[in-house]
Amino acid sequence: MAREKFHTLTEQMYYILLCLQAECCGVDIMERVAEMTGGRVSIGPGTLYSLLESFQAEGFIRETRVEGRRRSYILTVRGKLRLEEEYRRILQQAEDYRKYGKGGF
Amino acid sequence: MKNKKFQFNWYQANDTAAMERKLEKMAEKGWLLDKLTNWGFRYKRAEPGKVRYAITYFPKASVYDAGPTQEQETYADYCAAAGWEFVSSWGPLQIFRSIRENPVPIETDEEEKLQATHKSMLKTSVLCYGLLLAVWIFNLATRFSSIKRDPLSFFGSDRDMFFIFFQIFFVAYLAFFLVDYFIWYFRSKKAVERGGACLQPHTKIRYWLSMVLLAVCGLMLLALFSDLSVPGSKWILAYSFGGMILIMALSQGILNWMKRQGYSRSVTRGVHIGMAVVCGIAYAAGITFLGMWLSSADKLQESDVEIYVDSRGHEWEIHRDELPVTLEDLGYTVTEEDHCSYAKEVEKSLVLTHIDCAQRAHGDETQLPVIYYEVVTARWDWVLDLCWDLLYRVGERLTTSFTSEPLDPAPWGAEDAFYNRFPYGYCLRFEDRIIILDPDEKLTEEQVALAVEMLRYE
Repeated sequence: MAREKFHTLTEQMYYILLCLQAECCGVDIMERVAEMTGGRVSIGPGTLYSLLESFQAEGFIRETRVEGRRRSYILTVRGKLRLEEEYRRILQQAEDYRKYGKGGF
Repeated sequence: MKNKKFQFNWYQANDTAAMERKLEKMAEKGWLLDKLTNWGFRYKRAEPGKVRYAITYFPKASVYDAGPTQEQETYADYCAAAGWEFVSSWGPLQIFRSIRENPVPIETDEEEKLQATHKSMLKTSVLCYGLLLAVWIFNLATRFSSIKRDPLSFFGSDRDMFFIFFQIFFVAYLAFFLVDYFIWYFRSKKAVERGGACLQPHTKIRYWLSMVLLAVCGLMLLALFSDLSVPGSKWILAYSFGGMILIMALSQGILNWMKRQGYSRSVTRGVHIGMAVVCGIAYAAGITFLGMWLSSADKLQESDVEIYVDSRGHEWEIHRDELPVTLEDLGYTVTEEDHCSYAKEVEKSLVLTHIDCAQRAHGDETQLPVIYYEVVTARWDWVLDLCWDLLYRVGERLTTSFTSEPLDPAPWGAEDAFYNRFPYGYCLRFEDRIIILDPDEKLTEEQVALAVEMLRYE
């Protein structure tokens, strides 16, 4: 089910993974993503919590540090591959737009 | 001036948006939520103001947790970082509030939100309502089959009828909740798959429908108190309601105590469920024993009942009730030596009157026959028709060897007639009544005809 779930990443999933290329504390991800996107993408704390859990279960991220209730995460190789795959998909979409989007039909 | 306030929570658990609106309105009136209890919202007085509430589900939390788990605290930390202050929780349901103008919603992914709600609902309300529904449907099915076996006792008792209406409406309420929830879930799932948001439940419709169903259930339960004429019914009702309230209070008390003592979730859950099962069994057994004890105590208390002991040492109850037809009416001479019992039981309800009579001699040397008969009259013809139909089929349900045989009703002057060797004998349908009699073989045809004639116009 999880594999199906991450077949195509939502914008929020994409930015969480992007953010976790470097080690980051879970609670800081919301702010980092808001900075990265100029406030265009905001992730709710409930959504962030459940997505981090799902990513961990899927092996896309791993826990690096636990300081009290602060938990930090980083992308795994599998997570990196998935992120790159998504990037290529987005590039392909952009490429397709260039080809066909502006009167290319 | 009161500084605390309580309101029942009538909202269905998946209708979080309606709960949020309610809490926000209360905050505008100067009441901030203090705690979410088992029954509803407890508020404390505060400065009136604009406060945003967010109600979410955290499926990993349980009502059996002694306090917030580490995961729950982490979840609350994430929410705090987004400007949401944790207020209270009940199991997986979490309540937060924010004074920010436009805080980022706690759930920004509808799929995650729907799944968190669904997982939590399955563990709590759906499980609880589902189990209750299964138990009550089983109970209802058992009652229906007992009605088919003994329709006259059922229609003769207002209490039985009110109770079965209560059961039907309660089952309807539980089924309504579950059907409504699953319709909401599957429609929301479809909407989310199409990129939309979870649907808003129809708060008002479901609220009023639930209220109407629960109000009818309440009325039916109150109606049980209207018929206290049956001996012992006061005690049975007091036990039924008192026992139920006691079990609920005990169960909640133990749950709260274990949580305060810091027992683990699994221990608390095990003890709580185990206690509920034991109390449930004890409660059901208690009702049975109370019923048996009261019926034996009542018999002894009946002032007109004598006990006669025959030469073989058997004890017989000798009743002195007034019967519509007696052996004396049929031409027999009854003496003291016959030790005749004249027993009459009357069941009278809003729809039906059922008289059950027997005259039986217990004297050692008696040669008198036994007469046994029942007369059923009803307020409406359809009740009599229904009873007639059920009586006709009683034999089929009890045993295949005693099915009812239709008889020619003409000699009896009846509209319809049948004979059933067990448990009734002759069943005769007249326009306004049903007469059932099981004549002794010592009685002649003329005597039986005379008895029927007397019962017909009694």
